[in-house]
This record gives sequence, structure tokens and C-alpha cells, in this order.
Amino acid sequence: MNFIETAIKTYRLSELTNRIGESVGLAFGDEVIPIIGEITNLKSAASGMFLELIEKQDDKVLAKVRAVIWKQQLARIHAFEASTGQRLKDGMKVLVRAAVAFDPLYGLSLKIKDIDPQFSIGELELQRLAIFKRLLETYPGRIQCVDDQYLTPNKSLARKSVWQRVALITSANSDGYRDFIHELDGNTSGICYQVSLFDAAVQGVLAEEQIIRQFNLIFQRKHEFDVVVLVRGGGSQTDFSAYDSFNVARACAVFPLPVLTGIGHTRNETISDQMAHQSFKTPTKVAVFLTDHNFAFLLRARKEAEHIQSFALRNHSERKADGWRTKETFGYVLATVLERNRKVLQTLAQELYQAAHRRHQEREEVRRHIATHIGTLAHSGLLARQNVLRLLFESVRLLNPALLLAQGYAVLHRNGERLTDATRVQAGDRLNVRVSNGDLDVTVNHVTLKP
Amino acid sequence: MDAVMTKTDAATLTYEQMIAELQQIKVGFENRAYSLQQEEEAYARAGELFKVLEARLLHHQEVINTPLFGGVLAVGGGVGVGAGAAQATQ
Repeated sequence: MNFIETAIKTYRLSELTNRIGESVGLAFGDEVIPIIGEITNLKSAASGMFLELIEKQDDKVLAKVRAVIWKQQLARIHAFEASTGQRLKDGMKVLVRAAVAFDPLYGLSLKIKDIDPQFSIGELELQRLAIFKRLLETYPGRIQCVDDQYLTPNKSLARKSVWQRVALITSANSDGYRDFIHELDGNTSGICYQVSLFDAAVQGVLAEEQIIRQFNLIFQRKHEFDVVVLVRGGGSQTDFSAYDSFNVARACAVFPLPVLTGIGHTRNETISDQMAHQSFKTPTKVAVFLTDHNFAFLLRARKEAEHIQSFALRNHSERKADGWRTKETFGYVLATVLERNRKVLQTLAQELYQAAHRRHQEREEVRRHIATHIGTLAHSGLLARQNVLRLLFESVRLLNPALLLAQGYAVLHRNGERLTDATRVQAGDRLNVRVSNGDLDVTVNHVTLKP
Repeated sequence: MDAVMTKTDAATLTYEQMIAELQQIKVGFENRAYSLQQEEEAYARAGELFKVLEARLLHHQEVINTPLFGGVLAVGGGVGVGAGAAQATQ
């Protein structure tokens, strides 16, 4: 025995590792125990995934243990990724169910049988909340949370009437890219687009950096575009971490052009979705929205054009009607004037005619009167004259002494002189008395004068 | 009316300017604000605006060179990829 062998009890390394292995076996056996740790140094291999789980406190590593997920357990890992929407990656805090093993060559390790998705979802949510909080703190007043909805400068951007020039951030090899272009290309509205592709990984460790780089490129040429479209979709439902990162979310929140997202997260929205101008479930839906938006503008323009046409026709009809009315009115006025003048002339003519006629009538009347009565008048005159004559004749006849003599009157003569004054007679005179049928010779006996 | 008197080349107008001018013309017609001659001018102007607007929306093709990571596409409305200088009008 040498000095050392005699001074203290020594072990061969294999004895030590065997004893540790025995102790570990005694302590844990085949038991699968829940362990919380953070993934680091994750590597994939044909046989499975190799990683380390660490525990940190204030960025100081307190513990570190190797771990392995054999390919027989990978189906459980895929289920975990589907549930969480996240791929296993460095920095992810997980609750694993693992068997503790100790190998004399490789030391202590964990054989991971399963990973609890609920724990990771909770952890991810905490991370998301931390990023939301950081965004709010970074842009106080510009990014706000109101009723669980985030108000961002990008959401407040006024929408252009047409979004035709599209800056597209996605991977040229992704299904999301193909879906988006296919939908735009086949739009039945006939809307034409100009799409500039800004190629970027949509998942993996490079995604965040490349997306931010493309945002910066677009920013330098922002006047060339109407809208930024950030799409992923169409592929795996895992690894949305880039869209939940602070930097991509911030770009979506404050970018000077509207950002439309179609990230394809079927379970919930990413932080970028909530910061962007508008979010959609899939790239196809973003494309449909663009076409609907632009087609709505086209319809609006068509409606304005139709209104113009309609009003123009109305005005034309009214003008035409006005023209007719004017013509009719003028014609009516003219006709009225003419009619009035005609009536005046007619009246005048009538009056003239009537006056002339009246005059003629009067004259005619006079003439007829004259003609009619001239005979009468003449006759009357004649009659009158005849009467006069008759009267005269009668008078003459009555004055005939013979007629008077026949009526008993007598004519006295004395000495041949007709005697009419009794004062000139004296008694004794001899008078000749003529009667109707003879003369008498008488003597006056007595004269008596009338008183 | 301004819409009739001011005849900016329709091809240089933005979509917003075109729709605003169409609306202005519509209001002019609606309110019977135009003389017969102005109506004829406004009607022709509206037709020109709508023609340019529709052509740009349905048949316009613009190619933008993206210097880094970029592919260049012009899609939609049956118009394929082509070459030409970008002429931003809005």
C-alpha cells in the first residue's frame, strides 16, 4: 500500500460513479418525476432531441442537467407543440416528466417522457403579458389598452381608398405566400395589384430578425406602398414566437403604413396581430379583404358615376321640358296676342260693319220709310188737301146762296143793292126778296133792330 | 363650378382626389348648379375621371424593384408580371 492508500480510503472513479448510480437508482428508481427547468442547448438528432435543463435566478445558473427525448417520445412532443403553438426551443420554460438516470460515462441525465403543455402555455402567457407591458411602457399614450383591446398608432392610420401597392413580408417558399398571391391573382373583381415581396423566414430563430429587417427596408420606401402585409400561415401551427416578440409587435404597432397580418394562428392572436392595423386568420383572408376593400371603392365610384348620369338625364329632361314649355308659352302668348288683336280687329271690323250697317240700315230705314211712307204721305197730303179742298168746296158750297136760299134763307135787295143792314131800311121801303125759287117784291112794314 | 373650371390631368390625381371630384360633380348636377354648357363639361369630366379610375384599378400594372430579399410581382385582374418604371400616383 502506498502513502495514499494507507492514509485514507480511496475509490476508483468507476466505484464512485457506480455508487452515485446506485444512490440515484435508490432515490428515484424508474419513477417519472415532474421537473421544472428552462431549455438550453437544444439539438435534434436522428435518435431524438438532446438538451440541457437549467434553473436560473437573476440570470445566474443555479443548476444544469442534461436531458434527452428519445424519438419514441417525439409524438408527445409534437402534441405539446400543437397545444402551445410553440416549438421547443432554447429559453423555453417547461414542466417535464422525466426519469432520472445516471451513467458512469455521461453522468446525470433526465430521460424526458412528456412535457406539460398547460404549464408552458401559462409561461408563454406570462411572457406575452410582459411584452404587452413593455410595449405600453415604451410608447406611453401611443399604445393603450382599452377594454382588453390595444389601441396603436398603426390602428389609427387613415385608410386609403385603394390598397393596391402591397409590401408583402413572408417567405417566398411558404404556403402563406402562395395562398395570398393565388387569392389576389384570381380575384373575380378584376382588381389589379402590385405586390413587392420582402422575403423573410416566418419561423425559426432567424424569423424575428429578418422580419424586422424587411420592415426597415419598407420604411425607407414607404411612399411606394399603400399597405404592408405580414403573412405566415398555411404550414405548421407551431413557432409563432417571432410574432409574439417585442420587436415585430412594435413594428406592427408604430409602422407608418397600415399593417395587415395573416399569421395563421388558429388558436389565438399573436401580439403582432393585436398591434397591427387589422388582423386576419389566414393569408387568404387578407387577400380577400384587400380585394373587398378595393372593390368597394370601385362600386362607390361607379355609384357616383351613375348618380351623375342619372342627375344629368334628369336635368336634360327638365331642360327639354322647359324648352317645350317656353315654346308653348311663347306660342300661347303669341296666339293670345294675335287672338286678342284679331278679336280687336274683328270687333273693330264688326263695329265698323255694324256702324256702317246701322248707318246703312238707318238710311235704308229712312229710305224704306221714305219709300214706304212717301205714298202715304203724299196720299195724306192729297187727302188733307182734298179735305181742305173738300172743306173749301163744302164751304164754298155752303156759301152757295142758292143752298142757303134753299134752306130758307133770302137775299134782300133794294134798288138793286144787296141789303144787309136793317138800319138802312125804313118802313115802307120796297124791297126785292129773292128766295130759292123766285123773287118777291115786298114792302117794309116795320123795322125792328136787334139790341 | 371648380370641378368644371379646374381641369387637372386626371392621370395625375389620386383615387381620393378623383372620387372627391366625382362627388363634387354629382352635387353640382344634383343641385342643378350648372349651366347647360357647364353640365356638358362636367359630364365629360366625370366620364374622363371614371375612365381613368377604372383603368387604374382594373388594368394598371406597376413593377417595383425590391433590392434585397425581394421578388417583384404584379398580380390580379389577369395582368401578369411585366417590366416598367414605378409611377406612384397616390
